[in-house]
Amino acid sequence: MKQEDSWWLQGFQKLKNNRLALICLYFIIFICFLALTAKWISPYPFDEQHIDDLLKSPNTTYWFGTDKLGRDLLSRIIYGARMSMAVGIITAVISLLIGAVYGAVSGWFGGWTDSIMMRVVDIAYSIPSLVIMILVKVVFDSMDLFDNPELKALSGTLIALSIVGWVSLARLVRGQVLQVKEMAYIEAGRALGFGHIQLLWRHVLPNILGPIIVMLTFRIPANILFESFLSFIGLGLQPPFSSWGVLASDGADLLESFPHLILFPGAALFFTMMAFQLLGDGLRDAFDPKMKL
Amino acid sequence: MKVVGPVLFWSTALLALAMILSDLFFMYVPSILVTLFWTVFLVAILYGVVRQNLLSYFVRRLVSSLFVIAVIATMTFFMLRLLPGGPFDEEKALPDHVKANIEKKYGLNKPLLNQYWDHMSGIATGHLGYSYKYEGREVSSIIKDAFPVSFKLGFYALVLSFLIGVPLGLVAAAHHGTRIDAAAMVAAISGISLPSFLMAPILIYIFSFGWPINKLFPGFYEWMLHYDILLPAALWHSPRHYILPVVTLGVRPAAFIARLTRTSVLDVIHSDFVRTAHSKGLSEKVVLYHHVLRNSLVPVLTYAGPLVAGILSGSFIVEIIFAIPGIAKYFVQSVFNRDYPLIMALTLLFSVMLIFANLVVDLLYKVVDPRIDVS
Repeated sequence: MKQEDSWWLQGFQKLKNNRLALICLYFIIFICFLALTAKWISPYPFDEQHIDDLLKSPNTTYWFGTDKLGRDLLSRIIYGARMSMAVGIITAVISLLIGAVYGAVSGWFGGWTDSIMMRVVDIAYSIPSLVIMILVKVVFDSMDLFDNPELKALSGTLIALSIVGWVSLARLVRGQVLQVKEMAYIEAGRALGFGHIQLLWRHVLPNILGPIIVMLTFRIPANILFESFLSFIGLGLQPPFSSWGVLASDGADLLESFPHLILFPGAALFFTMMAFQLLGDGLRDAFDPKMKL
Repeated sequence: MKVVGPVLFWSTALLALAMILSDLFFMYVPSILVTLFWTVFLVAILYGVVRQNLLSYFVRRLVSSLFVIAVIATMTFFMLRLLPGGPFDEEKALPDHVKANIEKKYGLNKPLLNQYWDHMSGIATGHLGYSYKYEGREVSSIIKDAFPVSFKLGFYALVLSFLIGVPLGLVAAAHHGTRIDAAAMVAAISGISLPSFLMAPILIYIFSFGWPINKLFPGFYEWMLHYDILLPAALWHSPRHYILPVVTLGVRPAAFIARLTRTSVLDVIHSDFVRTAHSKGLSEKVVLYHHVLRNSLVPVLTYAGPLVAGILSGSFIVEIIFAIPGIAKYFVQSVFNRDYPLIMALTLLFSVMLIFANLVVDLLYKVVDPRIDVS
């Protein structure tokens, strides 16, 4: 265990020295904080209309201005962070869980299990993801899975993105497991009579965690982007809820007259994506320099 | 024998170039040129396959691709039937007997398994059926009209992304650790972080409306209009219309390729044969272009398969924003319309392209670097 700790400590040390990655990490934590406390810190409710203040430019009352229904843009962006981050993180975690278990089982048992399971992955890989997402989303939006209105608005998107996302993670994890499987310490564990679960959980997992974390960091912005794609083609969240994608695509129509409508949500989206990307780079340099992403 | 390979390679490249030039200058690609190109391309691939003793691998891949396509067709069929609502549910409900007649016409009254069988045998024999919503139009004719446009858009974006990405990554790696490197990577990260639906309106307002310079200097727009240097913001009539959509679509892949090229070049630069080349006294340039670039392009090439997938889905947004008469609008619309034959055909089209692209990339991979064991 001592050896392992020092490897992790080394990684964290490297990350700590990478100032850019740290700034990005703080930025992401800040956005998450906004998202979680949206109810208390946003100046107005996200769906409150101010009929006398339609399409106001940024001013002291409305810091980021108002949209065409007179809703405060800052509040909508803060609530949008809630939706966008929820989509990004939840789908990344779900697809990670599915992909990791699938890939680990496939790589660990090898042989016939592996070839059949990988054939399934090949098939999943050959279906254009947007096709699947559209179909799955339309199917699941018609079902009432959650009572919570926010989750209900998200459910189709969440499931669609998770179904698409697990494939590449399964491939990654399988490749890693195949490498680790041949190591001497696994052989030793097997000789000591450890079971499959114990070996996988206690001995394989800690050794492949680095690439998994890096991959996860790159998945989150990709999912946020996919959600905004869906919103853009009219398959996103149901109004009055908003994500950054919804806000930006609404704002795109009025860019010339009211640039603030696309500028602020666009900037939020852009900088968050950038932060995840740079943090991912930093994590990769710290924990798995050989990884090609 | 040694001549055949290069001759095939260069004739493919020349034919592709001829097609591009003919499209750009005459807005028209003679069908004989297209046929010739695909023939030479396939012959070249087959030649490479035979040359590298990959024939059995190639055949196995083809067979498994057919299997994959059959599975995808089956899944799509049943998923479509799971969708709530049918193709002929109008807001104002049709009289029952009218609806029954329509459903009979399209075979929707048969048992599900019979419908499935009809569908699959239709696909196998190349009959994709009639669209439900675009009345009287065969699905294949819709695809024939719209697909070349999407293909062109994707193809140019792909070319552009390699033309920008590879040099950018190479320059960054050659100046590793300097400001040039940092600038190139900031550009790449920004390119990755900027979604196309933000990029497109910004490009449109700058290059089609002269904004924001027009705000500062009124009259600038008229000036640009007079000299005819504004770019069209939508549609697909001439090569000028291509510029904005292709750039919008190509930027993200270009950024990915730049990052990938950079890492890959940095990997190769530290390998032994490069040190040998240096110690032989070869100039920096020769080493970079002849030894490093060639070897570092292999990982970049592997990315081309998934890239095609990315460009396919990215082109959806771009086609919608720029009102390009491609396949994207049919896709989204046909799902809402529950236009089963059209959705099925489009899904299969996309899957076939994806599978084909991955197969070609795997084979190329093997041809570029014979050490790799693809099977």
